Amino acid sequence: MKLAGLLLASLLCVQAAGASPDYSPDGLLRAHLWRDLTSRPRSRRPTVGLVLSAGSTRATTHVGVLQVLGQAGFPIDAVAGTSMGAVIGSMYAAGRPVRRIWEIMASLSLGMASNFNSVRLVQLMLADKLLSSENTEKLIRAEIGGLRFDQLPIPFACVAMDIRTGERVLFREGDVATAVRASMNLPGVFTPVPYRQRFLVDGGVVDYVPVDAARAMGAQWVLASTAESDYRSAQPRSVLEMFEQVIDIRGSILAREQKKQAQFLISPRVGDIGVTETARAPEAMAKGVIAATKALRPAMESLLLFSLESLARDWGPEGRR
Amino acid sequence: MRTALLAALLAAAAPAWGLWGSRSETIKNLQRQFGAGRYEEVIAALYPDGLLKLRGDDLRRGYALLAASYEVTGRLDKSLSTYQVAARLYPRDRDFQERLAMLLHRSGLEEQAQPVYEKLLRLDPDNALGHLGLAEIDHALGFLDRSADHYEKALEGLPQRGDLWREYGEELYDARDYRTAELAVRRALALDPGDAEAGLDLALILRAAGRVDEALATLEGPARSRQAEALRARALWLMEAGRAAEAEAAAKALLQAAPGDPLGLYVRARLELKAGRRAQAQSWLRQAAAQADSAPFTAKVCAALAEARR
Repeated sequence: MKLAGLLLASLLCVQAAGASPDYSPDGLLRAHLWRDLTSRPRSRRPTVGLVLSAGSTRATTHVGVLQVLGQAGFPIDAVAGTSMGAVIGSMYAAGRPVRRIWEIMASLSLGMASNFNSVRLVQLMLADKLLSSENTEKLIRAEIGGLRFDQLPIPFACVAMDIRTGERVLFREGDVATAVRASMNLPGVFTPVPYRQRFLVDGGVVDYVPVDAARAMGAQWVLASTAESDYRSAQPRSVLEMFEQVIDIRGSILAREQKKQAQFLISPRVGDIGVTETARAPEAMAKGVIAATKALRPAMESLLLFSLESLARDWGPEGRR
Repeated sequence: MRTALLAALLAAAAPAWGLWGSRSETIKNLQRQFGAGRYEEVIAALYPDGLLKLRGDDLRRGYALLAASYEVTGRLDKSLSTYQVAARLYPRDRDFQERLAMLLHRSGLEEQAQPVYEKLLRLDPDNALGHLGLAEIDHALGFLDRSADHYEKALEGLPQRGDLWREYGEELYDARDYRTAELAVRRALALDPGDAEAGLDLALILRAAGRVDEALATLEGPARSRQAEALRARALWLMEAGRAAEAEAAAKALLQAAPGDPLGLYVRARLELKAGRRAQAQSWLRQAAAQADSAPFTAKVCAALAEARR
């Protein structure tokens, strides 16, 4: 059988299967325009916004998307996120390496974001005693310290909802950790976060894919990474999952319009991952890598075509290029 | 083409198949038939009844011959299912795991191939082909760090394979590790100086690293036999470098070698725009925009530029 192995090795010589560089006219032109775009200061190209949707454990998939965009040198000038998208987005906007965010999310547990344990769950079910999401705030503070929004290297915004008025609250100033905690604060499970006379709960209820928040920061071309649930096939088995299901259904309905406003969508296939399945976070992140890798060339082409007018301003007789 | 190649390789190796150390006359006869290219006879002898009569190691060899015969005759689905059965019956047989993984991989079933390669590496942690398979899959899926680790381990076992050094260089290029990518591709060229694809890769890596003059020189050297690609890159990179006269000459050479090449047309249009000759630029852009079938992105770019410059 050793001979067969050698034979197969010789066959491999003939059939290499790795991804090869693209020397076609499209491949060379894409690389050429990408060099032009990414070497420019922000003032001489469109502002690029990245939107990270809500989706609890599913939304850890955004980390995989961020990894691929970073490897490709994608310019990201503004980040907007809701709920778990806000957790990940805040760390990224603060300059934490994607590798570090991946490590954090790979060890995700319900207790990481809350004081969740079996005793608390019984208290929640029998005595209406809500859990606290203060661990989310502690996590963010441990990673980025006490940064305010205006101190972040990349402009960032996140969304919560005022449970008293139903208003969408867009955070663009103040303490980042508090805002992120409010954005990821499942109503009916976690105590609302008091903030400036408001009582704030999870932004996924009102703005699941906050494209409008990215626009508010000046983003002209928006890439949205979404992590919606396959709620039609989901079977909630706990109070937590039931609440999440309600948010997912409402979120999906709200997301339809927002997704239309984005220039490009990346939607990893994570819809079957439930809110309590934190052990599947590495799988979600891996699916983010795969989906973003498949979408990379179309995403680059979309941004390049969108940017063409501003690039071409420098191509005339008086231009710099 | 692939089947003919596989058959030729198998036939060339046929005399050595006796080295498998067969104990039964039945298997020895089948091995001789296989070596003589009588694959249909091997299949007829083994499937469905022949296999049932074999025992012990002969049965294992029977599966190997049947699967290989299916593969050589182009029945990849049957070959795959035979290897799947064999890999389940003989879970510690490295050859079955290796062959199954490779067939799945080459069939584009990367997600199914991955766990089989992983199983192969659990049986044989230094298996170079197992590492190579995972390196290629990880590269295609976007796991660049993991892919680089597997390429390094594969190359420890197959250090003389120039094509693998080139693939490794391409992976490092995607990871934007241009320094190491250059070293890997130069190693590929040292092993196989005639590998024009490695020459193109080297030029691309040097260009990405900002070493334009060296990239252009490489296009004239190791990459020269890939004429159309080398001419395209040359025209484009000269234009990027602001060397308008040379870029124009290169674009003309490209359009002479490959009339209507959309990138040649694009370069000519850009040079006209730079010179302030908008009408001439429009003409080149419109020609390139008409080639949506062969170069859809280039056509879209040129159409958008033509529209904006009207």
